[in-house]
Amino acid sequence: MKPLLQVHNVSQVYESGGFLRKSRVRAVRDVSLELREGEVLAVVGESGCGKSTLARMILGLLPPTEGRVELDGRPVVRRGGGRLETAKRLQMIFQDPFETINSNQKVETVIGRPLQLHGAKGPFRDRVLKLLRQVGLTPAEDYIDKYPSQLSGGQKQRVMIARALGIGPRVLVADEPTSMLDVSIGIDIMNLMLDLKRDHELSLLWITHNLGSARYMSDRIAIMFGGQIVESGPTEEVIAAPKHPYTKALLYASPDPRREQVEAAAFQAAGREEAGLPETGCRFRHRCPYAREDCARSDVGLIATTDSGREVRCLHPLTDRTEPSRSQEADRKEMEA
Amino acid sequence: MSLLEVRDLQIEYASARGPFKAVDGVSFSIERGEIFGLAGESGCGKSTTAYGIARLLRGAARIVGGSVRMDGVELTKLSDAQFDAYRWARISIVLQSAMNNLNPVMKIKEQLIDAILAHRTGISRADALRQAGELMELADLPKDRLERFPHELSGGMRQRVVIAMALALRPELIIMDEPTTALDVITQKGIIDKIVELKRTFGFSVLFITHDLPLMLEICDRVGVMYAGRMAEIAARERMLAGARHPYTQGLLRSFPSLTGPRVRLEGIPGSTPDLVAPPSGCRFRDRCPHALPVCGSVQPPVQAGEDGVVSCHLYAKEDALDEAAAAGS
Repeated sequence: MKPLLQVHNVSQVYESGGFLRKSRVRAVRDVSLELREGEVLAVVGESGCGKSTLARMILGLLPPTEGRVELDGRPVVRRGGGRLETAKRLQMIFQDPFETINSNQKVETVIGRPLQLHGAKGPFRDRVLKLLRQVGLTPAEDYIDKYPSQLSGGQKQRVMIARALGIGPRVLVADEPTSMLDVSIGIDIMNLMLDLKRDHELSLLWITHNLGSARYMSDRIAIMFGGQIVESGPTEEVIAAPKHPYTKALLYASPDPRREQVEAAAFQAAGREEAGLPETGCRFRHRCPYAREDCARSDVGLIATTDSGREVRCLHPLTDRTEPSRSQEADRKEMEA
Repeated sequence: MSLLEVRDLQIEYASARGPFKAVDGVSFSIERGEIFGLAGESGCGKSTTAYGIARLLRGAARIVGGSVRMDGVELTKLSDAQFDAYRWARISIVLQSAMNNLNPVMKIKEQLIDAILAHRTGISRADALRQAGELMELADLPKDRLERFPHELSGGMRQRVVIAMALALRPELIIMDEPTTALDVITQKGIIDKIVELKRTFGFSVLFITHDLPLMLEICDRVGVMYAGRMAEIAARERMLAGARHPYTQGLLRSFPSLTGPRVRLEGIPGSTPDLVAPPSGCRFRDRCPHALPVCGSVQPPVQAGEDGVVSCHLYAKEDALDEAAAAGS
């Protein structure tokens, strides 16, 4: 598989405040990633980790402060802003179909208008009907003249997927597209996206805070923390044996009643949000149960750990034998088991 | 005797299209020291049930039938003044958005003291402050946070403050409606573990409401699953993990991608929830059920209680129960 989408060392600095007291936040820090043809890459992280900012830069909606994004070797934004033709081949599915759909337009217009804007010649009705069938809204004739208020949340999200699909994208970028939906509907949307990926030879960037959905959807996974990718690799390998303490904390904190109870030490320290994010050195070290003195060193980069493409940003990647460096309360969960 | 007994609870909402029952004949009980979970998707009536118990229904919603007994006392029949003796002291409630409902211009200290003074008569301010300090400790909050304003605390810490407040008067029942849904999973895990620990220490009961079934099955002793205003199934955690009986519960459990085990395609549940203003006859899940029988279209499934818990589904109906239901339905 050759790389289709390449993200080279992108950073995003948000500035706020007046000219007397300007504050700068580096929301995304030197992130590089690759999406291969036909692949699903999950980007996983908690709120504020920079994953949505990264998505907007990839789509060309936000010019990166540093670095560049290329699709098939061609840039997505021109110097100084402005989306290029290439960006059309990247389409976004947003989190909240209730917010992003125009409630004054019929389904036909919601899906047909972008076709027109992108230079296709009418009539569009047959193409809209075909798109509706592709996203499972059948019989399509029953849906094409409806207004969004007549659709359920899951149906709205299908309409938004049809709209994105109409433009003929190579890559779909989905930012938590199921988090506003009930779970039994959300899984249908995930299945639909996997089917579309297969049938239309799309690649998919799946952005989520939920490790379970990331595992369900993706071939490879990248874990983000504090604006950086802290670990990446084949999804199954990373979830079976995380090498970064943050990945391990995220995994152990994710509810899964069928899993054996895990040591509390792995996530207790990680929950101390108020410990703050250091600007240099390992950004996770104040919340890391395994932190050592040298974690403040400034050169903590992504290190390749295996030949299967696993990388971890940690000076002391976890092994089976890693013990927490700080004493923690005993695992109370044992009593329950 | 159970701490809380809910029997055939019916709660009606007024709507532009006419009245509908968001909760239609729901029964369950909560034992002392138990975490009882109420699960189900949006609109199933789980939060409305909780608000009904806590007498927080306002405006368009009202209880139109059934009973809620705590220690044998019928709560629905109490006057507002009588129920005030229950609020905070015996039943407290933690809501999803509670962390955003702290007063932004009052220090945490003042808010805790206020809550204590409002419900405990004859206690001095100094004692209330000392108690506030104890509550902070219980919730693993550093004491210096007492002097802070809500915006200076992270979301997880604010939610811990709210839980500490709910504990202030040592209630017997704490209702928690999606208490960690707005938080990141690592923060959530810390708070959930804390709730379980405090429950062990103080022995209160919890009515825990969430749409997140995996989370619920991690912490609850028993779980009730609601669908379209009715109770589909109640079972102990272990029983449900071993295999749910109601097809809706089975479908729900199949809808959550797991972090362990083989990666298989999940099928979810086809269709959508029924319109409660004009609910379908018989079983409300029948149009989405892969096992629907002819009888499901006409007869409401009888509620069957047994050692395994409670299930309301024709697939498990004993012959006589079915006859009875048919007679009652005709």
